[in-house]
Amino acid sequence: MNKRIMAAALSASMALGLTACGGAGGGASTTAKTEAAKTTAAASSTTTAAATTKAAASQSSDGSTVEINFWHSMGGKNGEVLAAIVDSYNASQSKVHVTATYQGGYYDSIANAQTAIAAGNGPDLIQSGTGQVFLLSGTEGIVANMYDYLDKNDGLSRDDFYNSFIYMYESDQNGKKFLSCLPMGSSTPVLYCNKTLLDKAGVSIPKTWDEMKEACATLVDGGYCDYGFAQPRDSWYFWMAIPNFTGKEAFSSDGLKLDCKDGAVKTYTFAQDLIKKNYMYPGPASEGGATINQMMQAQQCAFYINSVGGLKNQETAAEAGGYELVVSDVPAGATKDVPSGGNVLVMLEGDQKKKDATWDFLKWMYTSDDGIAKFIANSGYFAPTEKVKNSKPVADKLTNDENYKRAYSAIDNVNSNYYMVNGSSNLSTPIMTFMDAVFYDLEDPAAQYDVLKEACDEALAEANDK
Amino acid sequence: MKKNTTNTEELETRHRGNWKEKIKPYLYIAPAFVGIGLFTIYPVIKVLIWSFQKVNQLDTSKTKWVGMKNYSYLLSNGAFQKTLLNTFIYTGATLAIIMTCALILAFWLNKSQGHLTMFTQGAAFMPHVISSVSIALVFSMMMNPSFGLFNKVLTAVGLPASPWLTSSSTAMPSVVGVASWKAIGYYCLIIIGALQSISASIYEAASLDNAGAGVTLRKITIPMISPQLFFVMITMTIGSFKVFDTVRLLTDGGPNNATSVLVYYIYKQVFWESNIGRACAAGIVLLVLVGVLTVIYFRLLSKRVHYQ
Repeated sequence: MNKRIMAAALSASMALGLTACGGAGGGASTTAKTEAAKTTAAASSTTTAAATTKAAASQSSDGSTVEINFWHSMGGKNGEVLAAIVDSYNASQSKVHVTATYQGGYYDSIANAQTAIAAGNGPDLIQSGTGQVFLLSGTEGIVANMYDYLDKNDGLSRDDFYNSFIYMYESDQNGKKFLSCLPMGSSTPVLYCNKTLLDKAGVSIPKTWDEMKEACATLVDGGYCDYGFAQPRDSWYFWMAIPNFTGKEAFSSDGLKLDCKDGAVKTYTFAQDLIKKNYMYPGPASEGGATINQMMQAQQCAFYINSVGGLKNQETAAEAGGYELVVSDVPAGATKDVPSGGNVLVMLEGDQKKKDATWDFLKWMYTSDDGIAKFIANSGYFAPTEKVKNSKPVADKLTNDENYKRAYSAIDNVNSNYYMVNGSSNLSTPIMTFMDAVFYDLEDPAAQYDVLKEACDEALAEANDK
Repeated sequence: MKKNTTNTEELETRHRGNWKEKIKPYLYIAPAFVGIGLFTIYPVIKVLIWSFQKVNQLDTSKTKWVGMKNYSYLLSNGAFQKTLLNTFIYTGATLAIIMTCALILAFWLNKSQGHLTMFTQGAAFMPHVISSVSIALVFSMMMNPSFGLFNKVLTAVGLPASPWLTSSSTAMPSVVGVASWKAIGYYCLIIIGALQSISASIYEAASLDNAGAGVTLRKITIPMISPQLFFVMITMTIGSFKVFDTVRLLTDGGPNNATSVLVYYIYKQVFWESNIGRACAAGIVLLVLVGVLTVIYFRLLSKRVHYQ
């Protein structure tokens, strides 16, 4: 009899246990879990999910410290720097405690955030890519308006930020100017040049696309290297190519249609011609960055168009390859326009106390030498504000790193009008398909543009269908 | 009178006992059922519901019913059609290559003995225990058109270099090749196990009847290992339909959607385009396809499977 009772009790407890495990419907246990997760009290910031779980289990002992969850997308060295920054902030004061958690790449972190927000378990602050912000800010009431804080002029104001890195995140919401995020490490594409190889071939750094073609012809046809310039497989370069090469906008004035057939066909016919002659190497889908770095290092390629954020990698490749690296502007077409990118900080809507605490952290990040300045100085990203640029770590880098200093001139060429279009973050897939078809399969750019336009217009219509 | 009362009590006790006996099995299976309900049935129902909605994860009040719109979009969308075709091509090609190679290798390894056989068996199985990430990274380097090992070998023997993963025409065969290389050893091991379970006396009887090698293969070996072959076919088909890691790591679905397969398409819809409804509809299409194929397999092949 006892055995039967025990068996029944065991069965019931297992069933209850399983029910509790799967209970994500917003019941009391979920709420408690949510609050526990949000009121973390880790001894120090970490970059692992396991640490967050550990942190979620404990709570602030004195009750006066506000706990902030900060999800970021920086792995490797950049992740370590970010963790050190958060540690510095936590050590600098006792009102707010920030727990940093690595959430994977930009798309992963946004997808995780969406799921967490839907479950009422979202973080307070997210670091993500510039192209992914709209996946959150596209829905009203999710992202906090940064102007609400910047306009208090409490140590950090909207005038502090470079306009070219901030204006694309601005919109009108209910008759009010709305800023969905703050730029953290900003970037633009730049041209990395193997100066040693260029000198050997008697070629100077190209300033226009025609000069680039000539330089590549001398380099490749003369047998100095296998390819002229390389470019990663990324939709970012679609936005670079069209405004730069043709001086034309990509979208119709209402932002609902892709409207750049002439520009796209002209640009991509030119690019395709370069590919056919090995003057251009479009990077592969997998391990594109590593592949091109290796090619640069082996001096198979003379130029590389890539984000300024990759400066450190290129310096390492140049050192290993034994050549002089020079950073220059991306060649000019009808304009010198380049898009901006990099990563941003997004504060989520929620409890006012938490938002204020998050703002305190953000303000510190932008004003302390141990904050974003440290992150910028340890990577190749641009400073988002003049104050960060003039901070000691970044000023030292600008003095000591000639290439970083040269790269800074690219800021004047930033044109990120494509970000102004609602739904543009949903266009990556059709754009990549278009670029693949033209670059890898050498399909007719005009015919492929029609396919691209159909897919883009459909995605834009869907994104704007409120 | 006293005896009647005792009988009633006994009946009641027995009845109570029966009731307990009846409920006991349900209690035993309840935990498993709760688990299945929560983690299998509920998600499937949820996915089915979402497949008819335009889902706004961030603000559920903005989620709306769109009827069959997600399905009609998928069926009329060129990229999805290509994805579907790619999935069938990938499944058919891997199934054919892996089955053929695994069978040949298994027959050979089963017949021969010695250190070389043991080594070959271990070497063939080795790719299965290496992580897909490592395999993809190594192959993407070896298949690099500019400095990869494969092209170096091809050009060294006077053959033209191949674009491998960077052209629509060669990307899918390259992915199929990598996936097959990884899986052959595992399926080969299953078939070897099946071959070794066939009693030697059956072959002796066949040889006494002067049965040739071909007849022995057709009439004895294949029928005797048919349950395992059937299992391999079903699991391989389902596995191929659900392929993701190899594609994600080797080609990212490209170039030009040449290697985009169903699960990768679902991943892109969720993580890149935040289109949960459409992803769920694609998930249901996958579920239906796998279900239909499994039923077809059972209908067509189960009669040919001989259980001992």
